[in-house]
This record gives sequence, structure tokens and C-alpha cells, in this order.
Amino acid sequence: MNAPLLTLAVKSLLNRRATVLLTMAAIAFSVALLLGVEKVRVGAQQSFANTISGTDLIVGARSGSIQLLLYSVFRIGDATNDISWESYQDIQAWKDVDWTVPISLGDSHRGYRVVGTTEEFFTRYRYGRRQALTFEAGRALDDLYDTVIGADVAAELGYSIGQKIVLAHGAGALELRKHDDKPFIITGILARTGTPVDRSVHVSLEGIEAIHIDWQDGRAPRLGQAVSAAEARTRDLQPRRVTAVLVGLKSRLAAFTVQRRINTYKDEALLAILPGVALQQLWDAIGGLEKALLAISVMVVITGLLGMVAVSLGALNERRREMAILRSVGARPIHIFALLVLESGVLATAGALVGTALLYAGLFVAQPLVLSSFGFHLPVAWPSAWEAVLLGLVLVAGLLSGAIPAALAYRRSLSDGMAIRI
Amino acid sequence: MRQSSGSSAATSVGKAPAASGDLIISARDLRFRWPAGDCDTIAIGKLEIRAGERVFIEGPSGSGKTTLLNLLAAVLQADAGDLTVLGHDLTRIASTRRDQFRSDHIGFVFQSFNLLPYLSLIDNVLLACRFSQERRARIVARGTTPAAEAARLLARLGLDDPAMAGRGVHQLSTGQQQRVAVARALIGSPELVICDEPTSALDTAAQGAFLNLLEAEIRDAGATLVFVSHDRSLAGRFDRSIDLAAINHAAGDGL
Repeated sequence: MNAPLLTLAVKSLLNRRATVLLTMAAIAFSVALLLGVEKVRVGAQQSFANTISGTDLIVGARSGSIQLLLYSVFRIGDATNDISWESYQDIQAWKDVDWTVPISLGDSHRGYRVVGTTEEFFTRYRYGRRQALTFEAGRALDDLYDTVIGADVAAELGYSIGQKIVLAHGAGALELRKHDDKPFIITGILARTGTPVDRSVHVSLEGIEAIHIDWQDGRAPRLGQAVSAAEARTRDLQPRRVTAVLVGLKSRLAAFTVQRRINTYKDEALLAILPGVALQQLWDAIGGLEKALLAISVMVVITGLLGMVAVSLGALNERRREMAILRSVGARPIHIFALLVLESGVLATAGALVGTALLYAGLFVAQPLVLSSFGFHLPVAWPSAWEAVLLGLVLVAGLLSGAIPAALAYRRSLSDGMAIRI
Repeated sequence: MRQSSGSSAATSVGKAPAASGDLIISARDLRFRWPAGDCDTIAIGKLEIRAGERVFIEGPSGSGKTTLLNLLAAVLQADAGDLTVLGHDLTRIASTRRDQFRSDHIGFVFQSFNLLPYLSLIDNVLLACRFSQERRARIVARGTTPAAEAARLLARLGLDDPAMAGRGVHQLSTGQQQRVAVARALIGSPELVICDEPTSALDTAAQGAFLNLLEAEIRDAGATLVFVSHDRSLAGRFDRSIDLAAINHAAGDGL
């Protein structure tokens, strides 16, 4: 008896096309929103967790671990202190340490942070599933005044290989004090990574020393004390301090030992963090937002389903005659109940399917935009198990909410029988 | 198409439990009260209707006729007394069997708006077969299909205009709708057809035409007809007339 009832349910829905389509659209949009928020949430979390990989420890001056992560990896905020070159060299020589990449921050170019580092940065830095940086164009740092820029910097400022750029002192967007006496030449543009590397301007540590060689206590050189770009090449450009150090270990098993050794380092107050742990901490700290988003989209789905219940309840009175006719030809009250539940089920299923289709259509359109404006990859993949569960929950909720008008119609058809009371 | 009528009345219904003349409805001391009511709606001492009879029950509004029909159709269950319809004791029938009983053995025609607006003409007629295996079996036993039988009945009732099939049922006139309802009541040869004021929405000319068709079809199907109306002028067309107000001692008391 199910197939005929399903046919009746579908025909009854088609008969009320206008309201049914609107109700279905509300459910479809809410489902698309729910799945979309979920996709963005998962995509953002993965992209976030993949910002840095292959680095076992990040070392900086003693502060908070999230703060260190923010300025060393995300180029957000400033370091409160530096690490001395001596400490850096000491750690580099430890037997557990495989490699180190120093990072020196503090300058900027038109709002993009300048990262002083070594050649090794381009081979050691890994993101995602241990993907290495690749060059879209040009090559790595070679000369003192060479610079390698990230994909966003190149795209947004329209830079190409061979162009000269001037760095500014400090991270402010106003660029009150420029190192305009020592311009850098763009020798490399990195391929897009979806990480803050895209928004960084990379120069050598010596380049950082060179542009500050005639500066004192953060003040531009006085007249007559300036050192020209060519002259700077002859000076001692040995860095004396770095902002942070990326550390690779010979064995990851040593991570906690080395971390403790750095955190209890006698000569200087240092902090070592495990990037994965710190990333998780940071995500947890900002993760309330994603939960709120998910909660809101769940509310929207509930609103859509409530709309369906309201429409169904509203139609119930004018459908009393329909129920009486069905009863007269032998439909049992349970058939009436099943008919209305089936109607809601068909509606919710159609809404879920259309919503999923909307989502994927939206994903195809939004994927390149999201990658270029937010720097993270939205995978257009089959629904994950969790998304399938969400869809299933929407269907169950649809059937359950359909049970509300169905129960009412059931009770009425018991008491009305075949009497048509209008 | 069947050639003969009349003589086939008793034999055309394969599984008819009652030969012409047997009691098809028998009620004794039947009492029913609505749960919220403070007095009986139905209090009938004796009511007997025989197979093949075409009975007119005259019932003004408030006489309890809708309640009586619901009792006869096993939608409602009597509080006291005996009610046997087609050999089924409706005061004791299991609640799960009641709807099956109605769908297998009783055809209904209401006053108006008998049709589901979202079904085609044919599907409205076939609706009666959807819930009854037995009606389908009776049709198949005669070597035809439910769809063909529905088309045959509609044709006999003058509803075989091909243009009509494509249109929604709400575009039919009231008289046409009532005829579709008759086809639905008759499909699958139920033994009993109950009509509840089927002509009161029709004008006088349409009434006559409708009653002629109904009579012919009922006779041809060999069914028993219970025709309820407040319009006494129709009574002469039937084998027998019963005044519900006279046999229902509760009538009027509750109003």
C-alpha cells in the first residue's frame, strides 16, 4: 500500500505547486547553507592546520605560544623580543637538530610583511601535506638586494620579475619611513600556497642588516651618516639578532626533549612551541565562531522545516474533505497519517537534494574566488560521511515534523470519519 | 460491455454473500451517542434491508442520518444493540478490519465534491480499488483490468469524451462529478452502495438524469442501494421508503 500512497502524496503536492515550491525552496536554501557552512568550516580548519608542516619546533623570545605562532607563521602582531645570534647558533649545533631557518621580521612593503631569512627557507618550509614552496617565476635569493615575493603580493600589486621595490621600516601601512636608498629587485615569485607565505616579501638576513646599517635605535640616518647601497656591501652584515627560528629535528621523538631544553635555556628567555599543538590551540580559541555559524545554519534548517509544518497545518482544514473521501474508499486513519508524513518526507527529500545541488553549483563558482580572496582551498568533493549524516538528519527532522500535521489529521479522521465538516 | 441487465443482477457479483431477498442490513436496538453528547443520536429498534433492494431513507437534517451511515459503513461503532451488514457483525468487528470491510463491500457517493482535485478522472475512479484487494480481484476475475473497468464505467455514465480525460476534475460540472463518484462507488462490484444526498447539489433536470443513470447502473451491478435524502419527492422512484425520523427514537431529542 506504500507505493500508491506515495503516488497520492506526490500528486497532492504537485496540486499545490506554488506553496509547495516555496516551502521546498526554503528547505533547499537552508540545506545549502548548512552544508556550505560545514564545507567552509572544514576547509578553513584544514587549510589552517596545513599552514605549516614539516617544522618540528618554532623558537622565539619568551611570550605566549599563540603570540609566537601568530607573528612567526601568520605574520600577525609583533614580537616583543628577539633571539640573539649566539643562542641561535648554539641551538643550531645541538645534536638532535637537523636544520634551522631563522626569520627576521619588522619591516614591510605596502602592507605586506617583509621576512628576512636564509636560502634554506625556500627548501625547508612545508605546508599542507609536506608540500614544498615552488617558484611561479624566477629563482631564490642570491644577491644582497634580491627579493622573492608571495603570490598574493605579486597578483595584488601587479609585480613581475626584475621590478624594483622599496621596503618600509616597521609594519605600519602609512610607511612614514622608507628604506628608499636601498631598493630590492624581485628575482622570484612563489606559486600560490594558501598560506601567509603568499602575503610575504622575502629577503636575506643580510639584506635586513644592510637597510638598517646606518639606522640607529629605529631612527633614519642623519645627514652625512648615510651609507649607500653599494657601500653597504662592503660592511660587516653579520646578523646579530633574529625574531624566530624554524627548527627541524633529526627525529620527531626528540621534540619534547628539545622543547624543554629551549624553554629552560639559561642564557636567554626563550620559548619553543610545537606548531601542530599551537595551531590547534589557536583554532580552539577562534573556533567558537565556527560553532556559532553551524548553530545558526541548523536554526535556519529548523526554520525551513517549521515553515513546512505551518504550511501543512494551514492546508489541513481545506483538506478535510479529501481525508473524508479517502476514508470512504477504505483508507485507514494510519493511511491518512502515512500520506501526510510521506508528503513531508518527499518535500524534505526534494529540498535536501535541491539544496545539495545548489551547494555544489555554488562551490564550483566560489572555489576560485575563495582561494584567491581567502587563500584556502574549498574541495569540491562528494559529501563526507559527516555531511551525509547531516543530510540524513534533515530528512529525519522532515519526517518528524511531518508527523505533527499527520497526527492531527489522524485524530481528526478518527473523529470525523466520513462526515465532511467544513 | 455486458449485453444483458436485470437478469444478471444476482449472479453477476461473483462472491455476493447474499442471494436476492436475503437480509443485507439488519439492526436491532441500535444505540449510538457521540462521546461529547449528553443523549443518543441513534436509537433504532429495528431496521432491515434485503439484498437487491433500492431503499430510500428520508432524513431531514438533524435526524441522525450521517451518523447512521457512518455506523452502516463501520466508521463508527454502535454503543449497544446489534448491527449486521453483509453477514459481518459490525458491533464486534475488529477496528483494523472495519476500513477493509468498507473498502471491499461498500461504495459511497456524497452530496458534492466527491473527487480528489489532484487525481485524473480515471484515477479518482480507481481510488476505490487502491485500498481493496477484493475489488481488484473481482475485476480481474471477469477478465478485465481496473483501468479498463474504470473506463467502461465512465463511458456508461457518459463521461468518455476524450477531451474530458485530460482536464482536471474541478473543471467538470457538478452533475459530471457526481457521475464520476457513482463510477467510483460501483467499480469492483461492491454489494452495497450508499448515497448521501447525492442529488441535492444538482438542479431538477440534472437530478432526473442522474437518478436514471444511477438506477440503471445499480440494477446492472446487482447491488443494494441505500439512498438518503431529505427530499421526499424522490421517494417514489425506489422500491421502498423509510422515514428515519419515525424509526429513530432519539431523533430530535438531542437538538
